[in-house]
Amino acid sequence: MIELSRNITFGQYINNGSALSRMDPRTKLICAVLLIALTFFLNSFIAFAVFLIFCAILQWASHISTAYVLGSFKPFIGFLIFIYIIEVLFYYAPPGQHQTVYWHWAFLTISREGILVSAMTMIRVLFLYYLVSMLMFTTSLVDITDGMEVLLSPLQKIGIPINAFIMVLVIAMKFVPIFVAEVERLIKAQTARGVRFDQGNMFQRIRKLAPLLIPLFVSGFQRAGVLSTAMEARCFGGRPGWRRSKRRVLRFTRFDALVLAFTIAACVIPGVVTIFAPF
Amino acid sequence: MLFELKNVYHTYMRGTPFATEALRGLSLTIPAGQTVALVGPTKAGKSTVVDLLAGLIKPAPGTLFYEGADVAASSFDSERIRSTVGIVFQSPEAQIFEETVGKDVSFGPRRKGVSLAESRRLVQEALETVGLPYEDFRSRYTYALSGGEKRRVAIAGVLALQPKVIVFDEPTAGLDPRGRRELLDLIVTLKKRHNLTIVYVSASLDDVIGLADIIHILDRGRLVFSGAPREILARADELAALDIEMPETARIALALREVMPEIRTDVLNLTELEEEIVKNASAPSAQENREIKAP
Repeated sequence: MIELSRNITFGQYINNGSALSRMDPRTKLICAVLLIALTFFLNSFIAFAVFLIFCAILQWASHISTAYVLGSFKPFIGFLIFIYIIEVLFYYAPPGQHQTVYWHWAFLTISREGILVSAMTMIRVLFLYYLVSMLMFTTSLVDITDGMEVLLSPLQKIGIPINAFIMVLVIAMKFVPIFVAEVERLIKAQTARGVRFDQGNMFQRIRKLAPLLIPLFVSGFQRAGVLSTAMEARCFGGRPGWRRSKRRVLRFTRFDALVLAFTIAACVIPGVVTIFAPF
Repeated sequence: MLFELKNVYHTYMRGTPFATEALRGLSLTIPAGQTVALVGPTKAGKSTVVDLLAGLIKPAPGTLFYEGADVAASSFDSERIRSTVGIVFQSPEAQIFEETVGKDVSFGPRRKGVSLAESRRLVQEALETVGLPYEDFRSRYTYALSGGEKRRVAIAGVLALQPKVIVFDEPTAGLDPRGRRELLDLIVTLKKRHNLTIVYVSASLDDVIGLADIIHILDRGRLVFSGAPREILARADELAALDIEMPETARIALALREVMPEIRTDVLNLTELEEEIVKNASAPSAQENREIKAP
C-alpha cells in the first residue's frame, strides 16, 4: 500500500533502447490501431493462435522481460475470471442457434456455446490489454502525443482544435503520477498518525480511503491553478493565429516501413484464417 | 539501543525494469534519549530509513531491531513501533489533511480512541509546545496558515500522539532563515522538555552540527562514517567529496587548507575558527605563501 506508485507498472515507459522504442511514434500508433481493430475482427481460436505468434515476435523485438509483462496482467486475472463466470452463466444464445446445454437451473445455464463465446471474449480482452500495454511500454508520453497530434491534424481543417485536445490529454496523463504520489504521501501521513490501511475487512478499508479524497481534491485544484498561471506566464495560447512549433522532427525510416508491412501482413493472415477457419 | 539496523537492504520496485536499490547493507544504531542525525547527499537512502523507522516498510533482507526486538519476527507487534515513533515528513505542511488546526492535531488522539477531554488536553498541550496559542489557532483553517505555521501544526499533530521518538525528515527545507532557527530551537526544547529521542534527517550538516549528539553520514545506501559533530567536521575533505553541505566555518577552514595545511576543520563557531587561524598564521609555513585564495 505504501509503495503504491512503485507497484503500478501499467503504462510506464521502459527506455531500453530497443528498435521498437526508437521507432517513429506515428507508425507505432497506426500499427497499434490496426492490431486493436484486428482483435475485434478475429473470431476463431486458430486465428488468435496465429496472432499469438506475431505477439511473440513483438515481445522478442521489445527486449522487455516476458515475465514482467505477464506479471502486469496479475491484478486483472481475478476480475476477468469473475466476469467469465458471469458471462458463461448468463449466456444468451441468438435465436435459432443450437445450444448444447450441460447444466441448467432457473435462469442460469452452462452451455457449450456459452463457454466458447465467453472464452473468445476473454482472449480478446487479454490481447487488447497486451497490445495497449506494449504500446505504452515502448513509447514515451511525449512520443505518443506527438504522434497523435500529427495523425489527427487533418481534423484541424474542419475546425476541431486538436492541439488543445492533445494538451489536455498530456496534462491529464502527467497528473496521474503526481496524484499517485500525493495519495501515497497522504497515506503515509495518516498511517504515521494512527490510521491502519492494511487492517479491517474490505468495507472498513474503503471507508478509511474516504478522508484521502478531500485533501486530494484541494491539492489537485491548487496544482491546476499553479499550472494555468505558469502556462499563461509563458504565453500559452489565447492570441489569434497562435500555433506551436516543434523542436523535434518525426522521421519515417525504412525500419518503420518494414514494421508497417509486417503488421499489415500480421493483420491479413489471421484475418483470412478467421474467415475460413472451422473453429 | 532504541533502533539497530543490521545489514539492511531495500529495493524499490523489485523485479521490474524500474528496480532501484535504496539501501545496500546499511548498519547503524540510534540510542535512546539522544539526538541522532542522518546526513547524506540525494539518493543516500535517507527517506527510506525514515519509512523503515516508522514501520511503513520492512527490511528485506536485513534486520531492524526496535528495543532489542526483531521487527520482522512474527511475535513483534508493529503497533508498538507505530505508536511510539512519530514522523514529521519532508515538507510537513503536506502532512496536514484536515480543515481546521484543532481537527488536524486531534486526528491522532481520536484514532487512538482517547476521551474527548483527554484529546482536548493533548491538543492544547501540543499546540502550546510548538508555540501556537490554542484558543487562537484551534478553529483556524489549515489552508490559510503560513508555511512556518503549517510545519508547527504538523509537528503538533505528531506530538499529540505522545511519541517517544520523533523523526524529522529535512524539516527546515524551504523555510526562511528565521523560520529555520525557530524550528531548530523548537526541536531542542522538545528534546529537553519531553525527554524525546530525536532522529534528524538532512542533506546538510549546517542544521545538525549544533543539535546532534551523533551524526551518521550516509551515501548510496551505506553508512560511510559516524561520530560526534566535532569528529565529523574533522573529516571535512571527505564530506566535501560526498557533496554534503557543511557549516560556513568548516568551509572556510577547509578552503584555508591551501595556505595553512595544518588547520583543523572541526571548528563549531566563529570564535574557534578565529583561534585556529591565529594559531596557524603564526606558523612559519603560512608566512611563505601570502596569497590567500577566496573560498
